[in-house]
Amino acid sequence: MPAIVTLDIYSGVPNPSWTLSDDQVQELQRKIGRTSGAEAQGGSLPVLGYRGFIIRPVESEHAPGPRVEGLEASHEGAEESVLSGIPEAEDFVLSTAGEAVDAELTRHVREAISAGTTRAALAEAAAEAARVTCPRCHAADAPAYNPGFWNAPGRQPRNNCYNYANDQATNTFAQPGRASGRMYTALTCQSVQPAAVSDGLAACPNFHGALARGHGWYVALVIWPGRDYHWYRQDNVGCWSHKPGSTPARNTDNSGAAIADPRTCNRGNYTQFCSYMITTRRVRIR
Amino acid sequence: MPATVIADVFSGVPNPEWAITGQLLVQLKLMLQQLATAGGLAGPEPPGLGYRGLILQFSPEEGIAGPLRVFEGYVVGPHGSWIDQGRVLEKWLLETGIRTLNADILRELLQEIG
Repeated sequence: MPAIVTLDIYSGVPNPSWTLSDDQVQELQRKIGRTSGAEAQGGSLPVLGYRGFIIRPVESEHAPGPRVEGLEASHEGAEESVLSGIPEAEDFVLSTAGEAVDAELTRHVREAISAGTTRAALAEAAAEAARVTCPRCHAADAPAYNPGFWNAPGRQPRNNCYNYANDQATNTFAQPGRASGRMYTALTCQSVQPAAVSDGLAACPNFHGALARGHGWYVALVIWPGRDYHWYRQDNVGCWSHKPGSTPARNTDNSGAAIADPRTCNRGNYTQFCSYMITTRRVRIR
Repeated sequence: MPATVIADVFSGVPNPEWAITGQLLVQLKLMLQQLATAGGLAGPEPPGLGYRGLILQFSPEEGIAGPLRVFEGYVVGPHGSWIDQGRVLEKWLLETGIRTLNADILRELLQEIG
């Protein structure tokens, strides 16, 4: 039974489609059959770019054709299947595209297929994010996670992680110590933390102590040694959020996982954890 | 400035940026003209922390809509996206920052681009 295959890749424009002959469907079935059950349950990933192939059997006059065995249905009760996470079968289907997929797109998809470990890591990160349990927030003043405010076009590029952690949009790309005349002199914990203290923040050992209304909320300082610093803040839901430089505010780490504790989350190059700190509405930054 | 490159890499301290003028600007425009369209692909999502690509901004008289983000083989702008095969444009742009970028940072970023 022939099948129609759709390369699931675009977000805006229509995805390319072509037909698999009966022989090609049988060859695909053989390649799927050679993989283990675990591998064959890749499913389509909710990521930008290449997400896999959707394979729909051609319907006869009276009934839909049989679904390709060994693949997940695209959704419950669907006749179409999703092929993803089985590189040998994906490469084969891509090779049948002919003129439906140009050379550049073929190259891109081939690279995406061979980067199967990256896709697996993404899936794992998404699963990890779903598993994170936010700790309890003990600070009555802790801000709500409100990325819409920070990601507005006039605000996002002019405010950094220090603005965000202190919940003050000064539009000055604020620097620790600049408002108090004691700006840091080196990109180390020993230099940046005192600069923040001079602005009015206070270091603390953890984020478990109760902070009554008017007594601020918890933030955390980390360092990319010799290069940069970064701040996180604990929101009122208990998980943490941050705003990397002029990029959008977000509540996930570099693995895409929710942040239960900035000390242990994926921070990329910012390998040095300095300390948790408390900021308040009385802190002045510039 | 006719064109500005911003290395989008830091969070707290300001990102390094530098201007592209004269013959370099002519070469940049030629390189942009030769890029193949990516047909709607947005390219990979940059990480939150760490190197997030190079941002190209143009003055209005240059007639190029920006900003353009050059990252991991794609050039993504407000009106389209293009393929930067082999990250040639990304490496070239980074090397134009040799007088602005700290030597260690430049080396690390070039290693990251590969």
